[in-house]
Amino acid sequence: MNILSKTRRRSALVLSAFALVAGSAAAVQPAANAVDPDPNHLTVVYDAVGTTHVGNQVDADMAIGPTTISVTIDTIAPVPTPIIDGTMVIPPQTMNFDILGIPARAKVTMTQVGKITGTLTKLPSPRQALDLKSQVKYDIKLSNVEARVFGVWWPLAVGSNCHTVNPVTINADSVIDNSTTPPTGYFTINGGGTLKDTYTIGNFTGCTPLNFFDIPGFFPTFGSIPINALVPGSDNTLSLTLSNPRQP
Amino acid sequence: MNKRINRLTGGLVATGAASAAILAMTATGAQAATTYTPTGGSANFVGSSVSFTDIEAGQTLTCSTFNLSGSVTSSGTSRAYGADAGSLGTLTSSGCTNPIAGATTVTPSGTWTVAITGDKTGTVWPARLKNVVANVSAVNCTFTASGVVNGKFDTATQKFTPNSGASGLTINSGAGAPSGSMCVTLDLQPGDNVAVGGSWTNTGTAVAITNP
Repeated sequence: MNILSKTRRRSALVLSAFALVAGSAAAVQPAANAVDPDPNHLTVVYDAVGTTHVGNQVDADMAIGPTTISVTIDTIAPVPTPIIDGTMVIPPQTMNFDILGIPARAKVTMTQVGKITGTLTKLPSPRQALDLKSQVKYDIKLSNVEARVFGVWWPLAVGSNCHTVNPVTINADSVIDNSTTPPTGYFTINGGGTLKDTYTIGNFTGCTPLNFFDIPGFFPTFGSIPINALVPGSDNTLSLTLSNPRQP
Repeated sequence: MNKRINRLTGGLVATGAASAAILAMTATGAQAATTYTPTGGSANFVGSSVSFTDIEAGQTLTCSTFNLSGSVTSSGTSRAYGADAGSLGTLTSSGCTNPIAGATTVTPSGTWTVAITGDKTGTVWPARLKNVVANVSAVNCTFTASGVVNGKFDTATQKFTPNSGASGLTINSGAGAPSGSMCVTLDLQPGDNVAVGGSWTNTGTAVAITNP
């Protein structure tokens, strides 16, 4: 009877904790395509798809999306038109890479922190051309890290909450090339465009060093490897193409 | 040899001149009428899929309702091509939207007129909406478009269809020029050409057109 009660209490505690975590996640995760009732705000939704290259020891690409990005602009503010809000939910992706020559993969979850902000600036030419500058922060979480040894994918414990200490800041901007006539790389409200950035990934926290000794029969010379020796760096790039504008 | 070439060249020039003269005579014949006579009474042009596109800015407004009502002026009286056939003083529009900006307001104003501008082809006459003025407001950008809308009026179907491309309607400079920072971001500029889409069908008394 006591054992049963204890088990129930523990289950209730676990459920409560899960509910809290889920609640927090829901609070952090911005609502996509929420309609802004302010008549001086205009929200436009674009399809978004792109890729990011993570440098340092990872040196691998990962798809961004396809997803949607919702941006809200202040229609009464003076030019350049400010982007005052926005969200882009990036679906978790599996990233394939090598750890010292050993094939590896990890689930990467990027969770937006705060709003997308930025500006839209009209360019002198050609018609409709805009220079879009945006800023957004994402927490990056790694999970389900696995290494392929002897032809088998082996899980490498990375911890249940291995994520960046500080959210990564991404400044995704139009890259205007004025060397051509007309210029290229601009953004248009009607068509979208491609945004690019080189960004820095800082240190991670809550991570267990990847321990290759956990793999039966495998005795690597390098032992265990901390995530912070693999991922953080300033040579990460992102390219994101927006298209198909529409109302939420 | 040279003489033969000169003779041949002379012959070709003469043939070309004769062809040009025939073509000119034919063209003059096709444009013989200079006057027309409209007959009818009250007119009620109901718009269908009426849209206005700033060609340079690539922005389009589509209105679910855009109707023009009025009457034929001096029914049965001949007048020159381009002179008004009728006036349209009751202008109503609603349900105007832009794919990005959403709901917009398009307010036609003044008294629009309509004229036949040339000879018919079958039952189709070149026609023109004149004195067109419409005030547009969307996402804190306001402007006025004015001018004419060139198109065709088919007496068989009683339908006025604007020509594709630039219609003769432009965004105002000076009074009615685009106002508001969003006009800059949306790139709506004075002098921009406006294409008019859709059609208007007269559901009132049928209008007949004859020459002279």
